[in-house]
Amino acid sequence: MNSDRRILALALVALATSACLNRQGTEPPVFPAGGLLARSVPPPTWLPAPDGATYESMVPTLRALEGVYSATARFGNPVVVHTSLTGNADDKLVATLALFSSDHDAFALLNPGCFVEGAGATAVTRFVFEGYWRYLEFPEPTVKETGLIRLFVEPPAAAEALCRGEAVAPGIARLVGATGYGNTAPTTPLEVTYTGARKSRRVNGVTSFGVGVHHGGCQTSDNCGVSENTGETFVLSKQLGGDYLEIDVRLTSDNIPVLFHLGLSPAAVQGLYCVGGIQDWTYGQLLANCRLRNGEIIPRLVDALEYGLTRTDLDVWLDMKVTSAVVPSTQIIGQLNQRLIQCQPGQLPPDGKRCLFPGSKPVIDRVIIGLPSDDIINEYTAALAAGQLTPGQRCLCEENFDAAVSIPCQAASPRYTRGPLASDAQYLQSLGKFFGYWTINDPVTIDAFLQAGRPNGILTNYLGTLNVRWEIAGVLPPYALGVTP
Amino acid sequence: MSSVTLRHIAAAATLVASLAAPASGLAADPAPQAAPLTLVGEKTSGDTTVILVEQTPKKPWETPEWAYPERGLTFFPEGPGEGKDRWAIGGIWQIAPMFAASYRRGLGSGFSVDARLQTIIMLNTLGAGAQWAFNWGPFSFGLMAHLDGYFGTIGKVLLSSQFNSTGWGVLFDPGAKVGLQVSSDTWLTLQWEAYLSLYQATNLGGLVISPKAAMWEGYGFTLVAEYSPKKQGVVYYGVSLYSTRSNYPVFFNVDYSPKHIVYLGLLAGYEF
Repeated sequence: MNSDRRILALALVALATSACLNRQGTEPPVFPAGGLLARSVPPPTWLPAPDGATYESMVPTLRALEGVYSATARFGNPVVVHTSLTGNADDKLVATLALFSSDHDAFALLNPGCFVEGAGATAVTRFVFEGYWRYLEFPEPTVKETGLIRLFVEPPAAAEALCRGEAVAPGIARLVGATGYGNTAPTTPLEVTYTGARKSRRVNGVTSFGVGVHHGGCQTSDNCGVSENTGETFVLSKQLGGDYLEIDVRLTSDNIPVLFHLGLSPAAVQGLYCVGGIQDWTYGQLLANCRLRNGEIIPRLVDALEYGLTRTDLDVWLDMKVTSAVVPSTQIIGQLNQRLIQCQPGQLPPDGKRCLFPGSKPVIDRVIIGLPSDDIINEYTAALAAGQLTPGQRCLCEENFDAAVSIPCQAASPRYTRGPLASDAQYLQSLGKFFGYWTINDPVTIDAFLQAGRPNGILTNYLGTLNVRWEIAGVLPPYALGVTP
Repeated sequence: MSSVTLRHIAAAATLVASLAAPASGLAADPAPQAAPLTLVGEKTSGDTTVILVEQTPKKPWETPEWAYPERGLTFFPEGPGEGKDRWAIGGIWQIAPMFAASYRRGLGSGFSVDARLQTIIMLNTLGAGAQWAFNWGPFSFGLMAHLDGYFGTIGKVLLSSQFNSTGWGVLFDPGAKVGLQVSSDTWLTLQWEAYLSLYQATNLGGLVISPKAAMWEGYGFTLVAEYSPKKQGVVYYGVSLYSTRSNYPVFFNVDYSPKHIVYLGLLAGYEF
């Protein structure tokens, strides 16, 4: 506790002394005065469920809109419509609808609202989505590469049903509206029409394919308004169609695990004296001297995990960048596994506990320690032998498949430059293990690896593109994930 | 005309010139003046007397010291003359150091052909092309085009735990250059070259992937100095600024990204 207070005090000092450090990344466009959403109410989060229903059995209202669509403009085809719930489980959930296309790595993120148009007998309930679109292909987007988007649910009967929180059959609704450039009002017509359901990711009823998020999906250099390796990337990644998230763990000179990829370079951080490596600084010094490009602090692992695990259902892959981070990281996972608990509707957590994101798995089943090299594997096995690992701790071997079997780890995920390694993939999958690749961004290469390797997942910087390529080229793995023979 | 008359005319001219010099020196914005003639001697033969005056100083670049090397230069647009050629070896540092070698042969009328090699074992490029140059004032301008084949591999020897990849392809590199001699022994050349991938393929652990489409890979500016005090061998050195796709040219071992990145390069070597 005293340590936390010191850090809090240092954070306050850092806040006062770093007032000149402004956010440097670009921000997404926003509707002036909040747009139509400012006079709308959010639709019901969940479809009606019987008393006593668990979160696992409840269905989000927007899920009826998920599917593969065709768009008349702005986005290439096909377009994948993806919906998600994010937000603080203790507070309020936010529904998001996303459009993905692999042309220009395009995406749009929109929030829903219901409002009544007209009055009296002519009053009509409208279901509106507002947000922004972006061509992620361009890391520093001009107004030609990002802008506002507003879509209405049609026909009116579907809109009214969704606003009442009632189920709508797939394919009934279409999205009609417009897009614009930059912060100007959307005027270019757009109609998004359902063409079919999304491809299943389940093998024998078990979800066995997922989209992996590299550093947080939108890297800092992609200028999505959020810096990579932060708690905020959990939320953005989920909205952008991610299923599991890879983040990088380093250790400060006072042995605090933090999230950071490489060195403290101007491409990632701001701060006159923010140079060198994470290991050169105490956490207090990092707080005092460094801000990420979008203004965030370099987060402690414990804070980022708590933020992300309570706001999303993402699984998390902690990429150990240094051997000395293994034991502190597993200890943090153990602490969070005690503090963050599964809750059900209407249930308040006991004192000192917090609810995990609704319907998500326990921390110990969601956070996996990544072992990229043999020295880190040795550190992990030594900690295992010494009883220093949190009971039930899961691991992922990036390149060493023998270690993945012998330790044993639950996952393997080699660099794609080794090739699909189809026979290794199939063998490990037959043992119930996860097999994926890192990091593939090119649609041609994604398609080839989806088909040749039949993986359980691929890490990418372009989550929307991988979601689209799965619909086009994805092949289910031969075995159900996590089912051991 | 008698020798006396000639001598008087020369003396008068010298006088006029010597008087004009201080006058022009007082002018706020003096116009160019003819250099004064200085008598240095005379020779008489029969009825004819020839007076000798000091030769008008030539502009520096008109002196033999500024002469273009007899076998030309590798980078300077003018290149080697007809039937002449140059070999060069050196190094290029982009993201990693590479050995470089080139050969350029003049064809006449400003045309030349050349071949070039760059290698760092894991990435090897062999190209051939043609250039055409013309002079305008003190500048030499050139247009060029090259076709480069390249091959690379990683994981067979180095970094085998993460790589088993091989790549090959063909690049088309059009470009332009401008050169200027800046001293008696130094020639500067500024060159722009674009990189267009006509074809590329990658073998990743047996899986061959090809975009099956030409791709714009970026461009590079290079400023290079060629230094040849004795007009024989030439030392060259320079700096480059590239803007290329982030995985160019090692597309077979670096994540693809639509992004382009900017980075510096250095080059140096010797021309035989």
